[in-house]
Formats: sequence, C-alpha cells, structure tokens
Amino acid sequence: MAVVRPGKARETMEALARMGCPASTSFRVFGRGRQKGLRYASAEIGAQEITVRYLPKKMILCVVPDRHWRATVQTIIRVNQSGQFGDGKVFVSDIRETCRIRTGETQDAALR
Amino acid sequence: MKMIKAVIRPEKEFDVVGGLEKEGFNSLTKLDVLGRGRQKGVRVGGAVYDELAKLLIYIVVEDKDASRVVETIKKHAHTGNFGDGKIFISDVREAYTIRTGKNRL
Repeated sequence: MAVVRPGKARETMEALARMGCPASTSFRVFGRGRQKGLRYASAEIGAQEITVRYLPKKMILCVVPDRHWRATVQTIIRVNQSGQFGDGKVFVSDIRETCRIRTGETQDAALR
Repeated sequence: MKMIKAVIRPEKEFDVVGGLEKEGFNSLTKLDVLGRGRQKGVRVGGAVYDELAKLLIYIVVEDKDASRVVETIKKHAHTGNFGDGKIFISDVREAYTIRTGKNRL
C-alpha cells in the first residue's frame, strides 16, 4: 500500500508491471504528512502565507506473494524518490487470505 | 505499527483532525466514500437512501500510540446517533518514507 504523488502513479504502476506485478488498484486521495500540508509565501500577493491543508495523492494497493515484497517496495521507492517532502509512504501489511472471484482460487494461486 | 481506518461523518472532519493535531498526530490520508451500516442506509418518509456519504481516514502510528488515536477519534466523532461510523485497526509490518528510503514512520 503506497501513497505517492499523483503524477508518478502511472510510472509506478508500469514499473511494477515490468517487475512482474501487473495487478494493482489505485485511487485518488487527499493527505498530509508531518509538515501538516504545505505552507509557502507567494510574491504575487505580498508576504502573506498560503496554507494548503491537504495535498492530492494517489494511493496504490498492490498484493504480492511474500517472496516479492522487498523488491516491490524497492521499486516503488526508486520510481518515486525525488528527495523532496511529499514523496509519500509505503506501508507493508500481511494479507490473510486472497481469493480470485472468477475461479475461486485462493492464496498465491489467486495472484498468478 | 498499526493502521487505523476510521469511517466518520464528513461534517466531523475538522473536529477529528483538530483533535488529532492537538495530540500530536499530524499525518493522515483521507478519502470520500459512500457506505452504510446495519441500518441499511436511512429512510426519510418515503425516500430511501441506500448509501450515505462518509469520510474514510487512514492513520498509521506506532503500537503504543494506537489507543490514544482511537480514543481521540471516538471522542470527536461521537454524536450518539446511528451513523457515527466505525474504527478499524490492523497491523502494519513495515513503513517506508519514500523521500529518504528509510524504514520508519
């Protein structure tokens, strides 16, 4: 589960597909991190500070077999790392069960 | 680490986020969703609303902070009526900050 910049989502999903994980779900979310959104001074309107409470992000959900999770995380970090605040987070959690609805396959067979 | 997913009333967003901020939890991801609970939506006169607008909030915190976050959300999202929402907690094995590539929140 990754929260990334919206403009990087397509590139991320393509990179995941190249490393053998073509299946993912993504949706638009709003969020903020430790910086509480964005705060900046604009020259156009004087010294007044502008605050953006939430920034648009894209959340990508991706379920992979246990042996692939490190490579998946590395891929997401490599594609999205710009070194600026707001690059996003990657969270890894266990999925207890998976089932492909079409065939009823479960566990890793459902991911193939 | 724990991921806390809370489905709350959209109009309670400012209360909940403000409360979390006071407790020192600034990071969150939010998402507009539609949902219903055990009452299967609401019936107002003849009109039936299958799904109601809710706000879904994701917060990931260290294990020791999880109960404090849940209590804060409960306190601020509570009205006592049906439709106040639910809080779900699940385990997160790892969290990476993409900017630094480091394995921490």
